[in-house]
Amino acid sequence: MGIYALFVVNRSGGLIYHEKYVGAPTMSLNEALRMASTFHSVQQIAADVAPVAAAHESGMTAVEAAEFRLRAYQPRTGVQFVLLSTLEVNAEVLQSLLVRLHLLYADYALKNPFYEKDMPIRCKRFEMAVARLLEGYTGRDGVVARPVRA
Amino acid sequence: MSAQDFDYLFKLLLIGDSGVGKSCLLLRFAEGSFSSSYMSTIGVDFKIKSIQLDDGKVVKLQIWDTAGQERFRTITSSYYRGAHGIIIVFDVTDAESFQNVSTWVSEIEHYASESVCKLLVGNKTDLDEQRVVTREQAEELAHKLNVKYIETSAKTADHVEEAFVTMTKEIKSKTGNLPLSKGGSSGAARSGIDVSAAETEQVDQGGGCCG
Repeated sequence: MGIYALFVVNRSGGLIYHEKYVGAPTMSLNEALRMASTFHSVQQIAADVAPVAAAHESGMTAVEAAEFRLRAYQPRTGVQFVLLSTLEVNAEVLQSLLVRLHLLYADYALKNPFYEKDMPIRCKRFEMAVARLLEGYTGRDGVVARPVRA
Repeated sequence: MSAQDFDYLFKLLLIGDSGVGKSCLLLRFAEGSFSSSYMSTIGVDFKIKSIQLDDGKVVKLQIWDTAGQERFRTITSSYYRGAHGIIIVFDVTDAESFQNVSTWVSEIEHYASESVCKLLVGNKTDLDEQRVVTREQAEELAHKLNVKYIETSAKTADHVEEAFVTMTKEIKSKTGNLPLSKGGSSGAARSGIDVSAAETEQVDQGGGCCG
């Protein structure tokens, strides 16, 4: 087990890309859309009610649960990358993957002349690059990925 | 598996006084797509409907139902942020809801981007004998606000589809070459960076390093 879901949420709370891997709960596209927008809203609330000024910018960046780990990364453009994993995946690893996902987004989505900003990402090369990046952390086609430690 | 099987994602917003039938309108439109009160606890519900346009592109309309938003005022700005279209609803049998349209419009001006598509909808036309707002009055207001006006009945489904499709087409015609609208870009990140201002500043201080 390892990473089981990736969400890319645009600055207005819309889901523009998502991937599900082995271990992810079955959910329809509409459910994923609602999930992403709800997360965005909760994040907004978290940022607004945070007593620490620094948190007003980053909002909620992590959720630690008994069975899963969530990390979110929001660069200043407002787009947001969210990874869900099992507890076996180290938090620092997730963090660095998120930063690299942002780079892939910049390279393969934003630099694609046919890509419209804030709209669903339908770029083959982005898809492939994401798959390559997360390869070692996701179980595909029944193959369970090796546990990952930093 | 990735499932980005839609070309566009538009964020729509329904606003208006409570009781004017926003949720009914939405339910009528999205019926068959899904129904859920699953997210109502945090004050926002999402209805999603796919529309296929004439050019074959699939548009997902994600409508943010702002029911109960008074209790969740803290995230009002996030509702409006990045919205492509806003539908202002009033009840043709309720004069007050019609008067409050201007309040809602000023709310839009405050929170939403300038380029957002707006549509005025007079709902409950099936209650003709109780009607207090005439079509002429509403059209006059719509003209003044420079928005389209459609009369609907969520009960009989009259013109409901038309209202949403009209809005979708209008948004689509605008998104072809999406400019970075003022509200859209500066409102982007929570702390919004105004690049143009920064540039101007830099020019002003041009000789700073030599001084």
